[in-house]
Amino acid sequence: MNSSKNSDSVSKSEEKKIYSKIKNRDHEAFMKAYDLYIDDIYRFVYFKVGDSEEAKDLTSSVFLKTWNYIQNESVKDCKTLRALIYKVARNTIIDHYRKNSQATKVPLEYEDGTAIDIEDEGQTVLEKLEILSEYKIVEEKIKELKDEYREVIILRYVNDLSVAEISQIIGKSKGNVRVIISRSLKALKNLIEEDEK
Amino acid sequence: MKNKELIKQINKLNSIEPDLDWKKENRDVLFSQISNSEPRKINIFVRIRDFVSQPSFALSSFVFLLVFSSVFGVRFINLKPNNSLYIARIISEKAQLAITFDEEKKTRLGIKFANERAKSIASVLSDASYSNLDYQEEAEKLTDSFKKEINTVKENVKKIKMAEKEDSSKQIDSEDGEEEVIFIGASLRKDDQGLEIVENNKATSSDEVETSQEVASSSEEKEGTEGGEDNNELNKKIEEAEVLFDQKDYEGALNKLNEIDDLLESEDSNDVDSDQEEGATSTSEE
Repeated sequence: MNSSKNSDSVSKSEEKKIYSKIKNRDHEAFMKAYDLYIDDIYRFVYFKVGDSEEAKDLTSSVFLKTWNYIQNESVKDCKTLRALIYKVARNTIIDHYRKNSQATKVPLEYEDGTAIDIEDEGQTVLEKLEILSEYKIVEEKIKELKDEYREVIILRYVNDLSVAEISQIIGKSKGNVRVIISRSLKALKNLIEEDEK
Repeated sequence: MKNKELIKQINKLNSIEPDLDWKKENRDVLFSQISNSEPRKINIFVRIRDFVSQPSFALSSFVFLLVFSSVFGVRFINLKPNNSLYIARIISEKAQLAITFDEEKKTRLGIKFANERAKSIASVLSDASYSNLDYQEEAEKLTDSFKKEINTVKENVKKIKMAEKEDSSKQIDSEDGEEEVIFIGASLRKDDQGLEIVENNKATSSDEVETSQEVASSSEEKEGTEGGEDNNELNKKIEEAEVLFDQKDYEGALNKLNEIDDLLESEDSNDVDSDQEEGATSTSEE
């Protein structure tokens, strides 16, 4: 499984250190956390709201809110910094939905609007198109999943969080999370297979 | 499509990232926002709560209490089970047991503490208010605790008995060993005659061993009888205390437990006297 690039490069003890420094208003430590988690959080928000500009705005507010929550000691039940940031992100998106009351089904694409490209010169054009279409299919079908399923798939297989972390973020037991992951994969598979028929 | 393939496809979505320019710009903006934010108000109660909830604080408090109660001999012996500080008494007792390294003394101390706790329980239950239905559950719990304490006393008394038996048998073995060494050492200087001497000596030593064993066993019997009498007396009183407790004669049970206390104290003082006598004898021999 691909690992999330920056956030996995920090060990648990290092993360704890950063967390406790942030609690003591260490700005540098917080910016380090920003560097570690910005990509993951952006990706998470992006898949939830479907629009890159909205995702950027929301991601910025996520980090500022996180800082304020930590300083005001409003957060008591998050064991890790990563879990805390994700929780804040979720809540921010929920607030955003409430304000806008919109469904979020927007085609997935890179920032500049181009489709995701997989480079392999050894492949024929047809093969490339086949791969791209498979990839596209997955992208498209993910957005058709219900929110809970989409969320866990992104957290688990895109951002590479553990079951324990996901359970902390979404507030469900580990067993429950495993079941949801399994169901979401099945649901996605069914959607893709239906499409192929 | 298999799950593995599907997951592989999903993993590829990992490549989605915000652009670098936006990340940098956002970083600078965020840094200035948090730098300008107000320092948090110090909530003294939250700070105290955070400090106290640290495991290191709990551990150091426990160690402090342990050391304090053992070093300064703070005794919470009068605290009863219905007192909220009763736990301090238990901790103090455990601290004293922890710093007692001699096994026998430890066992005796254990008997003393268990007896004291049994007395406290009996004293609490003798209070008329505990016969009230409201306190029935608590009274039952205290009754169970009393039985446990009495069992502790019995087991520790057994332990002491076993230890005493072992000590006396070890003494005999060590004496035999010493004698044999002497005889063998003497025989090595001789040639052919040495063998005869060894044999003779062995015969002699075995006789002497037998004699010493007889002496030892008779003295052991004496000691055993004396110790046995004490232990029998102790066991008898424990049984009587239990019976009285079961009959809800808490005052009677309390008196019996006090008698057990007296018996234990008299045993302790006998031990001290005999130690002093041995010390005096060895000095005179020198």
